[in-house]
Amino acid sequence: MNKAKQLFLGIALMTQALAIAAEDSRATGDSPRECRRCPDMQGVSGEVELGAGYVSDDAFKFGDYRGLHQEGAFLIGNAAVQSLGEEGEYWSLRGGDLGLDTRFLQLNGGRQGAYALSLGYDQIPHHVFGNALMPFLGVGGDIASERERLSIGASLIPAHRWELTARYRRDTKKGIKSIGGSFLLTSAILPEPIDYVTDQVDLAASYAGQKWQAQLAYYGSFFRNENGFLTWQNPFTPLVDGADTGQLALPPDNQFHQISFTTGYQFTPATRAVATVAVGRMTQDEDFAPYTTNPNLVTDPLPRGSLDGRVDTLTGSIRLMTSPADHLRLTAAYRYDDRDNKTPQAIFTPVLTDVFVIGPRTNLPYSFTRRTGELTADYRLGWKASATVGFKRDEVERTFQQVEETEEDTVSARLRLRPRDDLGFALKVAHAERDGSALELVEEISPPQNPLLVKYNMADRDRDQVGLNVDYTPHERVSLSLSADHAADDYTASTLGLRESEYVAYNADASFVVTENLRLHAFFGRERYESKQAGSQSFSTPDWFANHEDVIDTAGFGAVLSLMANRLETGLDFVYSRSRGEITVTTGGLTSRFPDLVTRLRGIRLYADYRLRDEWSVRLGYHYEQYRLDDWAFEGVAPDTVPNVLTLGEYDPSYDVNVVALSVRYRF
Amino acid sequence: MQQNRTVLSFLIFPIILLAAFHAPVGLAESDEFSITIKKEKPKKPETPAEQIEAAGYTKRGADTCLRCHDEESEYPVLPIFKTKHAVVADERTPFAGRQCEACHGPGEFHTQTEEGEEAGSIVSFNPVDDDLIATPERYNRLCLNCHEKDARIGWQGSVHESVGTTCTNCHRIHVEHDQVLATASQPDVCLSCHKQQRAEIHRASAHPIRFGQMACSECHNPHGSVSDTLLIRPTINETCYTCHAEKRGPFLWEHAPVAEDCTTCHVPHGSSHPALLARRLPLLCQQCHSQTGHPSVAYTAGALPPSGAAGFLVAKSCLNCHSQVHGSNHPSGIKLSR
Repeated sequence: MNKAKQLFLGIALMTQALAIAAEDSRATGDSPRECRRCPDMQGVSGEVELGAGYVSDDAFKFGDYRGLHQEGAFLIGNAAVQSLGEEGEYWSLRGGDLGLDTRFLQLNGGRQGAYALSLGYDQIPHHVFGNALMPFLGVGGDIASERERLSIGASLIPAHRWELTARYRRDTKKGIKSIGGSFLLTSAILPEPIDYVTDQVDLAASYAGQKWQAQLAYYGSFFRNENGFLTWQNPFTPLVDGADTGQLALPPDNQFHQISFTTGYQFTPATRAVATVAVGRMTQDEDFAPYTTNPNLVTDPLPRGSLDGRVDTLTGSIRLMTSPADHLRLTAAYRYDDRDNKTPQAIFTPVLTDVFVIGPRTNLPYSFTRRTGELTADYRLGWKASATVGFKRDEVERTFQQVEETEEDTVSARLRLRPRDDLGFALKVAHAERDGSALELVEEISPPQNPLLVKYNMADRDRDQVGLNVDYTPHERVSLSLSADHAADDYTASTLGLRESEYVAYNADASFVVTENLRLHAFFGRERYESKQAGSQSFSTPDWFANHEDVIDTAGFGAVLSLMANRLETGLDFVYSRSRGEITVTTGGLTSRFPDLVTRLRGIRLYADYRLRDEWSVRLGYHYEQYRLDDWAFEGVAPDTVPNVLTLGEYDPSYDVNVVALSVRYRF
Repeated sequence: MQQNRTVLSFLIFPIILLAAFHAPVGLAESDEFSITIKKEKPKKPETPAEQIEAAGYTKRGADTCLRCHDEESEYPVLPIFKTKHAVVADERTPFAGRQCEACHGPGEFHTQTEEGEEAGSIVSFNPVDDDLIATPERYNRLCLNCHEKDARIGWQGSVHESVGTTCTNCHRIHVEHDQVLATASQPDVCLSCHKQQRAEIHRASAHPIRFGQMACSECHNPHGSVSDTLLIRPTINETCYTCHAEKRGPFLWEHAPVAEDCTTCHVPHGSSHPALLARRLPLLCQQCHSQTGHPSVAYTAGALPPSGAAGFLVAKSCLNCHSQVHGSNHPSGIKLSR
């Protein structure tokens, strides 16, 4: 008997003994009864769709995640085939987008209640920037990448109440992204090769009893980058002799291992505890590059050849629920999350962008510890009403940062009322206050931060949130829903940096079943984000202020119409999303308003499905989408527009694309 | 002072623990756990609630149900025979036991519905019909009796459970393919309630949810998990690293907020700014960076073409030079530019 099997049996026996002590015997009920009317669905069934489509224009942004970035014809291929057997044995094959770069295939099989196997393949293309202009030889054109995912899974039910699962997934990502490479005050946007492989393994053994459930799991993640460094030729006149080439370190190979245990126990019908603990370790030990590729600079030897980076993680939580009286439930929860960075510190003498040596610097391995405690009381009256009040305390400790400890207290309440079957309200409010320990200057940070700035993730903050949702069904065919949300953050002690932010949203939804053959739905949402910040050019008190506001409207409308005694189904979907970003910067009494940042998406889809015979149907689809962008970061910026930055040129993702598709579907 | 507060928060726990074990355990199991089984056969009671409590199982199970719930029925049920619940060979399934009544409860009085009479007296999983006989907890208990395991161990007390969500709010049982289990159709289910996220996925920079390439459950465990936002891994960053492992490090020169929480700068469901960033650069960076020199300069619209072209503002802004914003493993990468 091999070790793994011994280990499993050992754990199994132990758990079984505990379980027997804890469990009621589960009422298994009567043996299966005959059913003469139950239809026999065994055998092979499925559907296959084949067809062709045409894309009207080249448009990288339209093709992003869709695989339809080029003008021309494409193949439509979708299939779903499954087989059910008498003894619970089954297999299924699903495939989609077979003619596109978004294709997927999923094969499943096994015997239900005994074992299951799966094999999957999935592909996603990502088109970031079309027609990038790059003077660097050998590369250029589109900035794009593709992710391929292969997954294998198996599960086994070795004994009643037990399940063992194993999953493996390999993500391969290849392509090009863009990255800035600089020499002090000059920079060029470079093509960075992507050649990543990430392997992930999940192993789990789980036990599920009526009162006690548990899962012991291992998770491993292994990242490998086929490229270590990116070396490029300086396209600008070197600032110092020898600064002809630069070298960037690409993401290093790394690993993460984690063992976790999750358990739940139902003490009584009214009392339950759930707990989980996960212990993990991240490591990274890729060889360092030399300080510089500039042969004219004299550098100290590296204090070490690689990082020997290690972060230990510990996450744990426990939640206890009990109902001391009818309709009342009390919940107490505690969560612990620790990132203990054990990476050794050393003194480095970095070379700033291959131009000059800067003073000795020590690396700062950041660690974090977060403790969260929460108490909640729920009062629930079935469907009619529920009320919740809660208190939460969140403490965070950080190392090597300007605020060592923050503490946030949140009080919240939620009320749900359904006074009538056709009307429901939900209201939630929350107020939080965060305070930090005394501000400290981090000596290793050079040049130092302005002492009036506290980073917003650790600054003192008051946060208020309120949300109201109303559902109304005036008629059995009509339903309406309205909601409004507001959230405001006030960084009470911040004079520099982020000082205030606000979020307001309104949403409305409606659906209307006009007749049995015609269904309509529509939605509209408006959101507004605003943030206010201050800066100090004089390294003292605030002397400039910025206001950043984004207003985003999203709307949709859809209709489904069935005709000819349901032989013909037609549908329409319209979607609209528009964002407007407004930035003003006020300095020296003058306010400068940036041109509006605008994104606008409009899309319409039409389809008609006609059932020729029981098995055969034909589908005609049309899709039109329009996208527009106004973005001052790219408008009028040719590769050589900025004297000290060689850019990729104008980013223009705008498009008007039409797609038609015709396919035939066969069901069996 | 900080220490005292921590101690205080630790003290709360034992108190709750004590309360839990001294809580009255007299709540009838039948109220909270399952539909009561009564052997004796009383006369058909008046109200649906009484009928449910008093009913016994039918003699012929599904054969009785399918006499009315056939292909012509208003609520089609037959596709359930293509699903896992109907596999008789698997002894864990409802159809290996009480069949329809395993979930809907004893149907004795339901089968006695007279012509023209409102059919009640059985759990229909429709809150309007079941107003008096079932609560969300009772609905869910029927499913949890078998499914309270693995990713669902933490269902009770989770956010979705607390707001009265039932399993059937998201799952369809009598259909061949439950749409919430397929990548392309799952978001429609989630986004019918999560309207902020519905708007976000339509923005210019977003995860590929609206293209059917990514399901909500690739990051979230809707059945309850350790994290605040129901993530599949214990922390936000560990969840992001399942697809973006190149950002995990640990790096020689870390960018502190990156190691702590990706959502300090990124909006995971979508943003109108590039790379799912919450705000436009350089303002986002300047919310934290105030060093003397170029980080604290007020860049105005005057630095845009055609009047100017500041490298600090256009193209990738701060990232034109500080491109290793997720951390650098280069010995000279202290400024995140190598």
